[in-house]
Amino acid sequence: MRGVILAGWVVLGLAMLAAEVVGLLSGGRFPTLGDVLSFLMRSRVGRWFVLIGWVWLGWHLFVRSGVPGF
Amino acid sequence: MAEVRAPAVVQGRWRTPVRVVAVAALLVYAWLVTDFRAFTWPIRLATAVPAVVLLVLASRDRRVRVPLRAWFASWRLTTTDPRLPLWRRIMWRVGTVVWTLLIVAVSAWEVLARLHAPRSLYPTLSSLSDSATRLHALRFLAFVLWLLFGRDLLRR
Repeated sequence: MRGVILAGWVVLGLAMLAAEVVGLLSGGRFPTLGDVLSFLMRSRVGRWFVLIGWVWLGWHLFVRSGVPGF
Repeated sequence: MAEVRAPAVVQGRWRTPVRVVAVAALLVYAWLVTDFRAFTWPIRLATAVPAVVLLVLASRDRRVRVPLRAWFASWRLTTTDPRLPLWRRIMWRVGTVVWTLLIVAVSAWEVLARLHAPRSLYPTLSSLSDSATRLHALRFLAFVLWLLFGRDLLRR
């Protein structure tokens, strides 16, 4: 099962990378992740949604992750 | 509508020596913080400090934001810039749908893995990142990137 889950992560990672590359090479015709975030942050609700997401990401990566006492 | 301008504090209009000291202080802070152990109060407080600073700065940002309904309407093809060709507007919106689906897929995969055990057979993003950030230097790099990402978000 580990192989299936890992394969899923790899596929999703590559898909996001491909979408980002397409966005960067398209000259603005296809959005990058940054473009989508900018569009989302044009609204007040979207802006706070993204900012809270940033806080959650940091908390998840640095506070809730890692082997205790590593 | 008022022109959307980034606050001066995040536009880098600082005098150079001040900026250098601030960047150096941030790097030292990131290095010290990432030496703290996970699940302890020091790392909780150290992570909360930049988060609170960013949220306070964001709350003081007086740039005009679009109401939710107008924002949603701006996504629809009928209300976007008519000077752009139709195919280009369609392409851009297809892109936003693609990104939304990708983010939903990542979230669903994370939930799927999280609902199963053991973690060694069902790795989540955080369990995968654990092995990558076990080195202090990598944790430091991840923390700096997180701070830079937050700074970038403030400017948007």
